[in-house]
Amino acid sequence: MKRVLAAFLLFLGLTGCAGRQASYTADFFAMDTFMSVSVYGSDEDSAQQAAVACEQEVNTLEPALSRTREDSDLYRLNHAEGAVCEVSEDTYAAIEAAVQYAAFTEGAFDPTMAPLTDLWGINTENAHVPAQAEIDEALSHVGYENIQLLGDNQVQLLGGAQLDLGGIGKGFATDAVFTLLTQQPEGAATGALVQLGGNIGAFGENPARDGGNWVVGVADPDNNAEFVATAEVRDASVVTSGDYERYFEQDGKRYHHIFDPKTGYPADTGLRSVTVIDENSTRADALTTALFVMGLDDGLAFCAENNIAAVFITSDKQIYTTDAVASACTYTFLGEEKGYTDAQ
Amino acid sequence: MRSRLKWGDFVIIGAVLALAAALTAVLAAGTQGGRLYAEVWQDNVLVERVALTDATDRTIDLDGHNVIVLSGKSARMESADCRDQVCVRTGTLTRAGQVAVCLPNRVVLKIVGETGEIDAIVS
Repeated sequence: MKRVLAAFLLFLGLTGCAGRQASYTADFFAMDTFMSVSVYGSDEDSAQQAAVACEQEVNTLEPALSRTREDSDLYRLNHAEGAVCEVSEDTYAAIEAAVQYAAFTEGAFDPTMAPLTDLWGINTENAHVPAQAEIDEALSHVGYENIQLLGDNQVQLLGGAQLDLGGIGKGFATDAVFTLLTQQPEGAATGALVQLGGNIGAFGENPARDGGNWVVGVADPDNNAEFVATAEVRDASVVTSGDYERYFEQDGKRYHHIFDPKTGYPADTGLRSVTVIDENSTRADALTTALFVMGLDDGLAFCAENNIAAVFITSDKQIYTTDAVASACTYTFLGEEKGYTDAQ
Repeated sequence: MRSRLKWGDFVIIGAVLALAAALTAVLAAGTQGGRLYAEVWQDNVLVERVALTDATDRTIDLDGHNVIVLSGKSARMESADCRDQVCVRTGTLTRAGQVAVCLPNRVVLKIVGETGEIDAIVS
């Protein structure tokens, strides 16, 4: 009997059954994008429960952040013609965050750009360069100062402002998913890779790598299936805004979807993309847009002043990183073969 | 009493070693060690899962809406009848963690398999 037991223990040890991590991936479409949440935990059932809970959390948040669904708070607010509206707690919290980051970036990120994005029609059949008079008219309604947060979930939009939380929505959802993952039973979600559209959340420990970090590739703007650098992170979010995914061409010129709130035109600052690494995905989401609009010089200065970890890729294939990158992740430049220069 | 290993013990140890090696190999294959697969999803349903080898040469046509080409250890969205063409622009996928998504048609092409250089690409 002892021999059988010894043989069994030897068998377990040799096959490494003890301590094997289980995983479950939930892939789904939400917030007009493709999302994937992979959860690693002690057993497959609890990993699955955690991943499905994350999917449900995103689906619950979607109507709170959408401005196109006619039953949404934002739709109602945008059609209230300046009247005070009560919104859900989630919507109110997201608007508060959007206003906070708009003020922080002095309007380089602005959640009231909806009239402009609608006018340009990016990603619709009507994508076109509008007349200057139309742009001026739309710009007259842009300005985060027009958002009045009155407390008790009461919001008012002045000056014909229209709210669009698309610029922070996926970051806000990533943060909500992180909170949910920390609330899972012990061992159920020891690590997770959260990919909500372009927003990546690296939660806890990656069991597939020594050291337990998650390796996130920073996309090559010329071929975004490839990468020009990697950031090894843990319990952090990595977000990129670039000119290469959503755009249209007219008369041989490319017009992308990141608009400068000052000009009403796509930000033309010589940047292809900005990536931000931050513990807070909502903040990272807003900052990538803001830094893209600021451009390289102002963006680098803003990051230095505020200790922001960011990677800038310019049109002439220079890659700049800020000082804070070294403390936020392990960064590796890999773009040499693709013609990029590490501009440090 | 003096304890000595008998020939039967060696048989048991040998058998256990062989079985453990076999099971470890099966488990490693089950976790896709060393192999890459292209997965094609449509409306959250897995429609194709193809092992990518040097000899892979296949075209998957989703009723003309999306055409996916698997060639050697790579996969790409060759064409799509959607407006934005984001999936086609994504280019050629060669590593686990890479994804090309056609949102309008709800088609996802992804590479899965052994852990490679990266876990995800941010774009």
